[in-house]
Amino acid sequence: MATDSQEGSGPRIDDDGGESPMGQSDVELLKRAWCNEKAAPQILEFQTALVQRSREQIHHMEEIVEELTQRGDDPLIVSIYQMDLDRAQFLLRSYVRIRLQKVETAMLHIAKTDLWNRLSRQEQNFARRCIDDMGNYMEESVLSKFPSGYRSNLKQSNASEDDDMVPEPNLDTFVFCKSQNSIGSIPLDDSGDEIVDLVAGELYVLRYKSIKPYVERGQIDLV
Amino acid sequence: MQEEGLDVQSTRNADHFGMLIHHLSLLRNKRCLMAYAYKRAEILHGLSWKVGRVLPPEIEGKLNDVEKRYFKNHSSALQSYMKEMGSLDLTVDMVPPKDPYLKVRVLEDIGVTAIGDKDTNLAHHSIHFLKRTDAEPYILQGMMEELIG
Repeated sequence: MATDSQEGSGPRIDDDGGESPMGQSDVELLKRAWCNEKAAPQILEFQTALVQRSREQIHHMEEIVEELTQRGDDPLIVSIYQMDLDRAQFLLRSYVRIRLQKVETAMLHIAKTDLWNRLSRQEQNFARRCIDDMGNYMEESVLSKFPSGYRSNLKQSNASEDDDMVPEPNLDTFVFCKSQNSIGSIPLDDSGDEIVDLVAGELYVLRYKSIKPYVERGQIDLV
Repeated sequence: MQEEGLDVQSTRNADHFGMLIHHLSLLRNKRCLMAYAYKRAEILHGLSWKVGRVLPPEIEGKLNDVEKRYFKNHSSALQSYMKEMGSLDLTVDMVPPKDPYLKVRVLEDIGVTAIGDKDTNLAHHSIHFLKRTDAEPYILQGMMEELIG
């Protein structure tokens, strides 16, 4: 997890814990996933493999820190490892937390669209329970007191054609983004009037809607 | 009148417009009420992230029974998610870590509690050097404060 793995004293410690095929350490990937998830107005794809690997590495690091403290090694080195471990744990916890909070706020919308497939199995269980709880809560406190025909959680009244009481996340919000490679010009809105050229490494502020497919494919990172 | 309101091809007699106003104001009332209930539910979400399962008494007195049940259900949904993910505690580590250990002063008399694998006597006004994740739940509840500098 620390970038330099040259340690003078102590055994050779595998702190990067495996590199992904693209040559970036898992912590880097986790940090990028966390950044993207934090900035995006919609929920993104759940990185199951990454989360699994990160948890294993964190566990491994915990064991190493235990071993070092028991051996009575230099406390400075131990606290540096501990710090690194804490940072990785924070990233993991915050990533999962942000996703859960997005599920909480947008649960009905996610259940209706194909965003449902972006959730992990445990998140889907959580979302189902949340929807039930919210449904019961609304039912008991407000909806049962209405005349029939107005009792739906999802529609305003039986005369509405769509589920108009389900709020949708605003995809028009501006986000800061940086692309890794030059993508070229992309249209900024549906009419194709304005185009913007994305050069690698430069910072842009754009509406989320226009770069949505690129973020989902991993070509653009949100900052 | 209600049935007429729901039938989209209503005859345009004098009652039609009166009924339309009634329908639209019902919808507006429904939106207002649901917005109020939903806002309270959102506040309960925030609470269950902050304090876990036990509500402080001054807040508990302001909720009605339905809300108390909702809070309990929501906290237990969160707890079961955390357990499913292999006991990953999500209520600690709310801010990015600066130091692995914190110096804290105890604000209330908590007594002897197990912290990590040792028992510590958290007496009033005592100062301890604890791991961040151990001290965080107490700090969030207001029972300890962090000493900076």
